[in-house]
Amino acid sequence: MPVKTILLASLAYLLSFALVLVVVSPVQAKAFPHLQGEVSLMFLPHGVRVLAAWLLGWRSILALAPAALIVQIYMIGLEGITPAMLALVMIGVTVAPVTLWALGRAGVPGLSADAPQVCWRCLMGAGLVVSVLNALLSNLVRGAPFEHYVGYLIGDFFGLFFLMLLMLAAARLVWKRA
Amino acid sequence: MSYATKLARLRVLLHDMEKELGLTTLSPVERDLIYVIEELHGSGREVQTNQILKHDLLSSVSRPTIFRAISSLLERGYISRGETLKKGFYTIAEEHQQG
Repeated sequence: MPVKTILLASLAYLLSFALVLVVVSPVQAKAFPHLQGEVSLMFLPHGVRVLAAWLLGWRSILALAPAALIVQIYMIGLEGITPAMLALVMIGVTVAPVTLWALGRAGVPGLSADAPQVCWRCLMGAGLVVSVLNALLSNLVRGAPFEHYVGYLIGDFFGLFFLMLLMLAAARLVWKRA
Repeated sequence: MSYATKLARLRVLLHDMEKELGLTTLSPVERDLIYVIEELHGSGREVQTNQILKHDLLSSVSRPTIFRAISSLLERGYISRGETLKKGFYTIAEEHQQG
């Protein structure tokens, strides 16, 4: 896989994470102060994971792994890197391509950029399945209360939705400026 | 798949989202026309009017409607006339190609 692809995908992941830290989290803290900081109600990196899996398939694992690892190190520090944390990183980047592949094999259309048909709704639905599996597997590794599962689900769904809206807005800006 | 093709697919996905959410500023025929030109243009060639008229997606649309949509998209800069032969050849406007 070209280094450029890894760089672009990882950059998109890091940027989306930075957006969550700088914009989403402060707004969320004001709007929902009772929610714990561990759950983001608009987790944009989930959108990057799903779209990368849609575009790159299995290669998205390699493309996003560096960024996912950087984010973990940023969040918990180098000393917090344990086998369990590395497993979490791998779960985070692997579940999306595996799920999209499996759902595609089961007959759901439009779950790969190579597929002849494009289906936004199908991708959103698949994103939700990815989110459920991700939350279940991640929380199995680290153990978390039920509210976190619900929070992850909401955050992932809106993360994918708003990332696509942001991309749409960006595309329109480019069109307008041109 | 090249970067340009990937971006084009992403763009079609976003078009689908626009359509589903009712956010598009294009009429259904204009949007279908863009899909058709994007698909035919994928091979890197300029698209001929005949190819557009024969495409399945536009088979139920009358010729005058298609020509009106072509004019509208040309006017709004979504598509442009071909480089080699100006008449009857179209391509997605360079500024709207994201690759």
